[in-house]
Amino acid sequence: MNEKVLEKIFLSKNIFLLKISKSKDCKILPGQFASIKTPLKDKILRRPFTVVKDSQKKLTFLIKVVGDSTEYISNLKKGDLVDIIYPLGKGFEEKTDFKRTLFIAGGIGIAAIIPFLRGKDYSFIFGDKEGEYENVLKYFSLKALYCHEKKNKFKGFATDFINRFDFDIMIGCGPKNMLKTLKDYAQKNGKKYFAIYEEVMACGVGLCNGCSVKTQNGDYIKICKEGPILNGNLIDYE
Amino acid sequence: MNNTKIKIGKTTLNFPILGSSGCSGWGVELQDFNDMDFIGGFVTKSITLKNKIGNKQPRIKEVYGGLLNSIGLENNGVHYFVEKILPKMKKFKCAKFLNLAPFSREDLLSLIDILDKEKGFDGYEINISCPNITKQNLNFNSNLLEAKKLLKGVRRLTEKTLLLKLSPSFVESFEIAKFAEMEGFDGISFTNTYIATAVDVENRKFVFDNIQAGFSGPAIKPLSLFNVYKMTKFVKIPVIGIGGILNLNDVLEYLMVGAVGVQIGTGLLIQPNILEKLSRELQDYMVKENIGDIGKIIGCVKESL
Ligand SMILES: Cc1cc2nc3c(=O)[nH]c(=O)nc-3n(C[C@H](O)[C@H](O)[C@H](O)COP(=O)(O)OP(=O)(O)OC[C@H]3O[C@@H](n4cnc5c(N)ncnc54)[C@H](O)[C@@H]3O)c2cc1C
Ligand SMILES: Cc1cc2nc3c(=O)[nH]c(=O)nc-3n(C[C@H](O)[C@H](O)[C@H](O)COP(=O)(O)O)c2cc1C
Ligand code: FES
Repeated sequence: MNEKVLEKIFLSKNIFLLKISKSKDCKILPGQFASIKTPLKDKILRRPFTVVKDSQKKLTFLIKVVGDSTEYISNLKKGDLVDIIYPLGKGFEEKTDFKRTLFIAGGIGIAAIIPFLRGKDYSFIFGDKEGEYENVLKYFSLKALYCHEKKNKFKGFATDFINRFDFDIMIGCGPKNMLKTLKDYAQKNGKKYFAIYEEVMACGVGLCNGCSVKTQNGDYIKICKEGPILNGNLIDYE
Repeated sequence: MNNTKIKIGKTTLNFPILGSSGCSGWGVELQDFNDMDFIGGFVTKSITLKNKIGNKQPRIKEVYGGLLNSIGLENNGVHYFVEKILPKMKKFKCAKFLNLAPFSREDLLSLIDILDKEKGFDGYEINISCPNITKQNLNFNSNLLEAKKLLKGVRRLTEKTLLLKLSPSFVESFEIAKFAEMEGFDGISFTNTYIATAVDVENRKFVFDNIQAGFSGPAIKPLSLFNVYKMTKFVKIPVIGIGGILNLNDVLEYLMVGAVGVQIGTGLLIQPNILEKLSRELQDYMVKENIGDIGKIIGCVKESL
C-alpha cells in the first residue's frame, strides 16, 4: 500500500527520522516493523525498518543511511508516496517487569529499543561507535548510560557496563557480536534474554525462508514471522 | 464472460498464474495479501521425506536485476507437513500443488505413497532442479539416465496431476521433459533458478557456504522466456513458464510463446499481492482487447513477419 511522507528530520549526517501517514487501522507493538519498496531498479527487494513510534494517523521511523535504498529514502520529500507493508513480525507481548529489565542497544539497533522506553523508570545502555546518536537521545528524551568506543565518559563497548546494573531480564538489539556477548553473559549469570535479531530479508512476510536463523535445537526459525524478538539464549550466533 | 481458465492434467485453474515453490510459503502466508479465490493457485515449498534444516546464513544476496538464494530446502519433512500444514492449506479453493524434492527413487516413492492417501490438494510438482542440493537432487537433472531411473513408472502411483520442475542450467532438461511426457506427466514447470555465484571480495571468499546458489528475478526473464519457448516446441504437454515475472506484460510474453500458465517467485517476494493483482489485470486486459478465451493468447506469437 502507499503512504505519504509527512515529515523528515535529519538528526545527524546519516541518521534521520521519517514520519509517514498511517491509513491502516492497527496497533503496532514494540518489535514490529514495516517493509519499504523503493523504485530503484537495482535494489528490487523491500527493506525492513522498525516502527519506532506508532500513533493513530502517523508512523515514525529512525533510519541510518548505509546503502542505496536507505539513501533513496533519505531523499524523499514531504508528500512523496512510500510503498510500504505493515505491521510485520510478532510484537512483544510477554508479561515483563520493565523495572527489572536492562535494555542494551548498539548503533541503529536503538530504533528497536525506543518503543520499549516509556516513562523514566528504565535502565538503558547505549553504545554509539561513531558518536552519531547524541541528537537521537535528545529527540526522544532518552536517559541512557551512553558509551563510546573511543572518547566519552564511558569508554568501551555497551556490553562492558552491564555489571553496573541490577536486573533479571535483558533486551538487546545491535550488531551480531554484541548479541552474542549478551548471550554469553545471560547464560553465565542465569538471566532471561530477548535478542532483537536482524537478518537480511527477501520477503519479510514468511514466504521464502531467507531470514531463518539457527537455534540451539538445530532447527531454524523465520525472523520475519516468529521474530524479530527472539529468545536470545536459544539462538546459535554462527 | 471472458474465460481465463486453463487445464493442466486433471486440474482446472481459474487463472493461469500461480505462486512458485519456495516463494509461496505453504500458501497460508499468501492469504493476508491475496483473495485466494481470485488467484490461479500456488506450489508449496519443497517437501522432503525427512526433516531438512537448510543452509547456513547468508541465504539471500541481492544482485543486479535479481537475487541469489541458497535456502537449502528447509522444511520439517513430509509427516509434519501432513499433520500440521496440509489441514491449514485444504480450505483454499485455488489450485494447490505440492513440490516434492526427492534425494533418491525410494524417497520419491515414499513421498507419493504417504501423500496420496491425503486429500485437499491437486497434484505434485517433482523438483529435480534445486541448485542448492547438488549431489542428492540436482544430479537427476544433469544426467538423463539418472532422471529416467528416478521417474520411470511414477505416473502409475498417482491419479493426481503430475508436473516436473526442471533447471535451465542443463541442456538435459529438454530430453528429460520428453521422457516425462512419454511417461504420462501432465506438465513441465520451467525454469527453476540459474546456477550462479557471488564473491565477497573483501574477505576473498564465496558469499555462500555452498559456493553455488540459484539466480532469479527480472534479469533472468529473457533467458527463461526463450527456454520456455524452446520447451513448448519440444514437448506437447503443457509448459508452465517461470522466471523473472514482475508484471502483466511479462505474463503475456510467456503465454504468447506457448506457456499454458506461469508461476511467479521473486516477484511475489517483492509484491506479496501480485497473484491477485495480475489475475485482475489479465481479466481487464482480455475485456479491453476483446479476447473471449485465454486460449487465444497461448502460443499466439507470430514466428514470421
Ligand atoms: C527487522 C529489521 C528491522 C530493521 N530496522 C531498522 C531501522 O529501524 N532503522 C534502520 O536504519 N535500519 C533498520 N534495519 C536495517 C535495514 O533494513 C538495512 O540497513 C537496509 O535494508 C539497508 O538497505 P540499503 O539498500 O540502504 O543498503 P544495502 O546496499 O542493501 O546494504 C548496505 C549495507 O547494509 C547492510 N545491511 C543490509 N541489510 C541489512 C539488514 N537487514 N540488517 C543489517 N544490515 C544490513 C549490508 O550488509 C551492507 O553492508 C532493520 C533490519 C531488520 C531485519
Ligand atoms: C528464495 C527462493 C526460494 C526458492 N525455493 C524453491 C524451492 O524450494 N523449490 C523449487 O522448486 N524452486 C524454488 N525456487 C525457484 C522458484 O520457484 C522459481 O522457479 C525461480 O525463482 C524463477 O522464478 P522467479 O524469477 O519468478 O523467481 C526458489 C526461488 C527463490 C527466489
Ligand atoms: S524474509 Fe522471507 S521468510 Fe522471512
